[in-house]
Amino acid sequence: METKQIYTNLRRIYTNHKLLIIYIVLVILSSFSLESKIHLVSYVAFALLVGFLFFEDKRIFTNGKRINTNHEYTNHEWSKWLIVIPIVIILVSRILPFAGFESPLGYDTGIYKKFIEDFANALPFLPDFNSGIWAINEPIGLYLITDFLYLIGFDIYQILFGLYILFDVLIGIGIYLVVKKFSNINAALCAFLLFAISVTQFQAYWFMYYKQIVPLFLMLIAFLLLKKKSYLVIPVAGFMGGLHPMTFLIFGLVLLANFIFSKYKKYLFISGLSILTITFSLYLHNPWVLFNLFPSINPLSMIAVSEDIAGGKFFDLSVYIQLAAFYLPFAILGFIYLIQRRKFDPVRDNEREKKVQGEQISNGVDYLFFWFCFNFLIVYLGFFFHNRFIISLDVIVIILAGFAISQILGKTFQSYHSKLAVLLFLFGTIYFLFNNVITTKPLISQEELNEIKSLAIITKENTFVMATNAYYAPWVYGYSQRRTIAPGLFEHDNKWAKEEWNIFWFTDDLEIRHKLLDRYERPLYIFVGDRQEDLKLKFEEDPTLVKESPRVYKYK
Amino acid sequence: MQKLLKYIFFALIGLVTLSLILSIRLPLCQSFRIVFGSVYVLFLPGLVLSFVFFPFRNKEIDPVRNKISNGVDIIERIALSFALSIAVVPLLVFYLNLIGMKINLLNVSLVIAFIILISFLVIYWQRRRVSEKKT
Repeated sequence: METKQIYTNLRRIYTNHKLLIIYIVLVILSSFSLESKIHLVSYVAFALLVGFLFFEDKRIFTNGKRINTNHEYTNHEWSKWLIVIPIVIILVSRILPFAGFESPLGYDTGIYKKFIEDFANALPFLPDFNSGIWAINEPIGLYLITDFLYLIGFDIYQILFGLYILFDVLIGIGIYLVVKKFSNINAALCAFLLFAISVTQFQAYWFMYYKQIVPLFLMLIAFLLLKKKSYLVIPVAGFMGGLHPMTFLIFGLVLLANFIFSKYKKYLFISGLSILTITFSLYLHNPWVLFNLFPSINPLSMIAVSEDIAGGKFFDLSVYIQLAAFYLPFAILGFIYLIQRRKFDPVRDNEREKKVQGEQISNGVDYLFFWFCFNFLIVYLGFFFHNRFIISLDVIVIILAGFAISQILGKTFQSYHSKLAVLLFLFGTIYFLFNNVITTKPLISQEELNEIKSLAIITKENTFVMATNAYYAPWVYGYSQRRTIAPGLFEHDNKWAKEEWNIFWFTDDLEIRHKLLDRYERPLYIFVGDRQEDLKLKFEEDPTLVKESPRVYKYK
Repeated sequence: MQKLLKYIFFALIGLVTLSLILSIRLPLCQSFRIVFGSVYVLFLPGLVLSFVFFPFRNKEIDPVRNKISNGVDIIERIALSFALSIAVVPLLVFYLNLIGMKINLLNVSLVIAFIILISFLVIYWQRRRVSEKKT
């Protein structure tokens, strides 16, 4: 068969959207955790799909002008109130884990609970830098917000979970607004829906990355304000820097790159300088917080980081590629549009340029271009905390995919195969999301949590409680309401070095273990969770340790 | 003006309904305090500020500059209201705290009231300028 004929046949497959349907079916099958052969076929289909989407699209749009009329391009705008659908999906998927569990979200829940309480307890002032509490090593932005909510009558759990869910919805709305500003309402709705069904975003929510979720919303609004050339970006982005330095790093790099290439240098210079001033002013009380970006400063904290989930470790790029398989080909296509045209909606942009006199159509999409480039480089090259950057990478990938999907739908939604592909896509993604919601179990059982909470009742105030494993440390820290000793974490682990923790865990010599425990104030309560059955067995044989409950021992 | 009053009326109905729904699990007084308090802290200051910086709706003509304005639509305004409230109020309270103001309910409420009042004055001045330009 001649090459030209192969190409024509393959193109026919794509134009009928069969390849798209095949790809979606393969991704659905691989989400059922079938064997890796399915993954391999998916990747081949993935490559073919991206290639054909690109070449097919190139035939329709060249240099921003429509040259082929075989396809019906619809300019029909969907209703903006369709945003209710993704909002409902987000709310249901985020609230569902709370059915039957008091604290179903990830590793950092206890830490945030304790920090919010510490900041609330210090009112009417901010916590004293010399008080030694661990919370003071944190950027204070988030806790300024939580303090206000505490003052108006919210309880800790409403702040911890209610506000968190609100911010997750707000990120979706932020994506909708950014995409609408840079493209059109159809692309915005597609991107918002992709955000709602993104398993990566659900996992980010489940891991309880509170400090990262709030600034993501502010970063999206900051890009919107930059595109509008509004100086309101100064307080928004400045405060974002006081919330989470890592998210601010991406924003800062994008702003810097834009400053170099943009013609609006004066606006960007004034904004950038003011933003930096506000951000640094939020660290005046403790400039060292900025250096906490680097976890290796405290070698003991590496004990916690080396755990699978401890340290808030997020999954890596290879897992992300599988989770985002549904929309990744479209994101690549969106990125190709971005490089080619630096405009996402050529037909409408041309019309708009004619219509709107005086309004500058800038290369605003440069913000998104640089965001993708910097974010991808940080993740791909494995810079510090690179896995955490996958959360913001997923947001920009969703934005790019939203652009591409809306274009493809705009051209071909009338066809039967296209509608089938959309239906399959929706079924597959929603199934994949809710399967993930249901199967993602809390890191701690309700029984373990109840036992930790009982420590506040059975022990006196100012008693020390020890979590023998970094895995349980945040829960003991947040829920026991007692001073917590944990390996490499918090303010009270100052008596043992890393080697001594190793001795404590692995020695069978009771005398050595007692010598170590004697360094702490007594009575000392020790929590040993279900993950440390071997240590529990050793404790059972120790006569100086009194068993207070199935997982709590008292060292007299 | 009538349209604005209609929006305010429906917003109030919505907030009261939400408070009543929440009162199933919380004391009535607390549920009202939480709902109206959240709006006061997390939404209102930003909403008023958004009207200062973006007084017009999307694609509305700015009579002062006589060109299509860089306006915002309703969803954009809602999101901006949250973002600005979240950013501006804590920043202002933080700086006032640096010069000795205590962070308590009264002071925070006064700071927010101050932001709203100043913003209203600016909006009033802007509107007057627009009506003068029209006449």
